[in-house]
Amino acid sequence: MNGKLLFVASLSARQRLAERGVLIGRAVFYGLILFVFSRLWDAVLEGEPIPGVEAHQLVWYLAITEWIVLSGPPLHSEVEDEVRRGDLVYRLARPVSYPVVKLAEGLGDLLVRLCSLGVVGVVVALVITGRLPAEPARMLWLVPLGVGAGVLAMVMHFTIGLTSFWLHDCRPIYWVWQKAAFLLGGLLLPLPLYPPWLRAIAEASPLSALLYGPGSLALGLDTAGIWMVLVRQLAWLAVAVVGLAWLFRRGVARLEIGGG
Amino acid sequence: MRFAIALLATNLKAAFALRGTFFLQAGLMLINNLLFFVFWWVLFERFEEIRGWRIGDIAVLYGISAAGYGLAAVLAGGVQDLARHIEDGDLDPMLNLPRSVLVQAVAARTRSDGWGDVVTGMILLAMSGHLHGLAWLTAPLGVVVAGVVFAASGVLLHSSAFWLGRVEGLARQASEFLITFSVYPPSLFGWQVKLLLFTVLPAGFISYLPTELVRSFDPGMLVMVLAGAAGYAILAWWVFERGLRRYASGSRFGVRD
Amino acid sequence: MTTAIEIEDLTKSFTLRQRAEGLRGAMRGLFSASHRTVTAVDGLSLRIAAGERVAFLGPNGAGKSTAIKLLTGILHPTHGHATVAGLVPWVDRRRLAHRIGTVFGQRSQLWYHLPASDTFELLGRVYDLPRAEHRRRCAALVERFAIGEHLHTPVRQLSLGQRMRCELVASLLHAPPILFLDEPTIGLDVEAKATIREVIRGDSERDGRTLLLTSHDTADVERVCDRVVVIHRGRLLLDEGIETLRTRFLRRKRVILHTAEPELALELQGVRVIDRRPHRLALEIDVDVTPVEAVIHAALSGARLRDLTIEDPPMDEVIQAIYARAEQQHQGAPP
Repeated sequence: MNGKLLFVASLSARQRLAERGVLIGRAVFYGLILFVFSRLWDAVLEGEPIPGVEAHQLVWYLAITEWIVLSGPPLHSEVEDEVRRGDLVYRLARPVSYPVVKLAEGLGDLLVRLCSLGVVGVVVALVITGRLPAEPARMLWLVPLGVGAGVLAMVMHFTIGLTSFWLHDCRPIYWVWQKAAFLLGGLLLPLPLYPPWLRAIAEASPLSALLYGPGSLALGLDTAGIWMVLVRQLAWLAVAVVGLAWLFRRGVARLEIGGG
Repeated sequence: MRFAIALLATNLKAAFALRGTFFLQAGLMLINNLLFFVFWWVLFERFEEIRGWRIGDIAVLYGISAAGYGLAAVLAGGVQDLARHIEDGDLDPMLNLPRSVLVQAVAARTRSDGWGDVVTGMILLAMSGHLHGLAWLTAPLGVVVAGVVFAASGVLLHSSAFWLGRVEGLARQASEFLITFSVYPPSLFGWQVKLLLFTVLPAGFISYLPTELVRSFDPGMLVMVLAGAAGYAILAWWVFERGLRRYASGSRFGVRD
Repeated sequence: MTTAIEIEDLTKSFTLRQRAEGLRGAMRGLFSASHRTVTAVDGLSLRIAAGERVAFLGPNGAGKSTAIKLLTGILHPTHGHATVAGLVPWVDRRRLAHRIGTVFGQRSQLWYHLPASDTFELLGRVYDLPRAEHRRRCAALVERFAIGEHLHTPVRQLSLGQRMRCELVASLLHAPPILFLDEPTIGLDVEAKATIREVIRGDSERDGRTLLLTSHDTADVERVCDRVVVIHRGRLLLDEGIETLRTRFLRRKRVILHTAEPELALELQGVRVIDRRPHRLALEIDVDVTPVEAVIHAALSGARLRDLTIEDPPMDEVIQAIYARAEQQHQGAPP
C-alpha cells in the first residue's frame, strides 16, 4: 500500500515540475509580495519603531508565512472539478480510498512547491534585507515545520473541496477560509502585534500553528517553542483528518442516495 | 447603447434565476473582502499613521478599488473568459450578430460575486470619514474610473490571445498582480515602481489617483483621472478590434476546420 | 429566379506555425518559425438560387465549416469572391447578419437558465425589430414550431428536441431569407429528428427560405434538401439533385423477397446475397449487369412470393462510395 502511494506522490511531483510556466508565475508573485511588503514595513517602522523587532526580521517572517501559503496545494478546486465532472464516482470504485490517493498526490505537489518556493524565498529575502536571519542554522527547523504546516493546509483544502458535494461552487468558501487564515494566522503581521482580544482568538485557532508558528522562527523562537508548534500542528492535523473523514463519508452517502 | 443595456438586463435576470448561488457568492465575497481589510485595521490600531496615511485613507483606497473591481465584474464579467473564448473560437456566433463583438464578449456574463465587492466598497467608503462635500461626487466617479480601468486592462491582457494563443494562465496571473497593487498606496514605492503603476499595471489610475481626488479635490487631478481612464478604454477597444481582424483572417495557432 | 448565394473561385489558405516541443522548441520558435500552408477551401464555385435547400457534405476536414465561415463573414478569404443575399460577407458582415440566420447543433444561442422567451426578447433588441412586428412574428413562429407550452420554462429543463425547436425560432425571428444549419439534429432521438426535419423543410417551403445544411446524418439530407454539394479536400466534387445522385452514382437496388418456402436458391450474375433467413432473402442487385425484373422472374420461377420490397441503397453508402472513389483518384493522381 505504501509503495503505491509513494508512486502516486512521485508521479504528481514529476507532473508539477514539468509545469514550468506555473512554477515561474508563482515564484514571481511570491517575490512581488515580499517586495511590496518590505516597502510597507520600511514605511511603518520609519514612523514608529517596534521595540525588539527589526525590519529585516519582519521580511523574513513574511517570507516564511507566504512560503507556506503558496505551498499549500489547492486541492479544493481539484476535488470540486472531479465532483462536478462525475469522475469522482469512478475513482470511488478503485481499491484505494479516494482521500488517501488525493492526499498522496497533494503531497507530491506540496514538496515541489516547498522546494521551489523555498529557494526563491531565501534568495529574494536575502536580496531585500541584505542579511540572513540571526542563527541561520535554526532555519533548518523550517523543514519539519513547513511540511507540517503544508500537510495541515492541504487537509483543510481537501475538506473545503468536499463541500462541493453540497454546493455548486466551493471557491467563495475557500477565499473566506484563506482570508481568515491570513488574519488569524498572522500572515502579514505577527500575532504579538495584534490587539490582545484578537490575538487570543488567533492563538486558539489552528491557523496560528499554520503560519505564525513557523514564521516566528524568524523572530527568534526557542527550541521549546518549536516543539510546541510541532505538537500543535500534529494535534490540529489529527482533528482535521477526523473532520475530513466524517465529511467524506457524509458526502459519499449523499452521492449514493442521489444516484451520482 | 440600448442593446448593451438589454444584454445586461438579461444577464442579471439569468444570474438572479439561481437566487441561492447569487446571494451566497456575493455574501461570501463581502466577508472575504472585509476579513482582508481587518489586516489594515489591526495595523493601524498599532501604528496610527504610515507615511501620512491613516486608516480612513486606506479605507478609501481599498473601497474604490473593491467597488471598481466589483462594477467591472458585474458589467463586464465576460472579460475573464475572453482569452479562452478567443482560443476556442467562441467569438464566431458573435460575429454573426449585427452588434459589436467586444460588447457581446465583455457583457457575455455577469459575475454575482462582484456585488459583494461593490457593497464592500460602499461600506468602506461610508466608514472612511472622507465622505463629505465634493467627495459624494468624486467617490462614485472614482469607482466608475476604477471599474473602467479594470475592465480595459483585462481586455488588453486577454486580447493578447489573438496573437499569442494560450495566454489564459498568464492573463489571470497578471490580473492578480493588478489587484494586489491596487490596494496598496504607491507612496510605499520608489519612482520606478510608481512609473510602472501608471503605465503597464495601471493600479495608479484604478485606486491611487481617485483616492487623492476624494481626499482633496483638485481639478487638474480630475482631468488626469478621466483622461487616463478614457485612454485605457480607447486603447483596449482599438487593440481588440485589431485582434478581431486577425481572428477573421484565421491565422491563429492550430486552427480547427 | 434570384440568386441567394453566389460563390466564385473562393479560396482560403491557412498558414500554420509549427510549434516545436518543449522549452527549447518554444525558445527556438521565438526566432524562427517553420510554416505549413493548409488550403481548406480551394477555388470553390457555386450558385444557389433563392428558396433552394442545399446540403453541404464532406468528411471532416474537407472544408465545409471553413466554407460556411467564409459565407457568413466570420473568415476572410485568401482570394475569390462571394455574394450572400446580395452582400459580400467579409465586407458587410454586420449588414449581412440581418439577412442570415444560423443554427449550430453543438452551440446554443439560448440563455441556459432563462426561459426561451427571454432570449427571443433580447434578440428583438439585437436586430432592432419594431416591437409590434417582433411580437407578431414571435407568436407566428411559436405556433409554427409548436413550442407554446415550453416558452416560459427555463431552457435547461427542456428536452433536446424542444430546445432545438426554440433554437430554430430564435434564428428566424428576424425573418432572414437565408438559413445556415450545422448539425441541427445531432443528439436527438429518432422521433425528435423527424419532427425537426419536417418543421425545417415546412418553414422553408412556406417562406421561400434558402437553406444551407451541413450534417453527418444523411437522413437529414434526404428529408430536408433537394440538392447535394459534396466537398472534398476543399474542392467541389459533386453538385447534384438528390435523386440524380442515387441513380447516377450507385447503380444498385436492394430487393427483399419473402417466400412461402423456407429457402430459395438464386444464382445470377451481379446479384449478391446480403442476408439469408428462413423465408426471407435480401439481395443486392447491380442493375448494370442484371435488371431487377430478371431477378424477380428468376425468384418467381423458384418459389411462391408472399411479399416483395425493392429499395434504393441508403444514402450513407452512396456518399461513402463517392468519397472512396474521390480518395482513390486523389491517391492515384500525381502529387
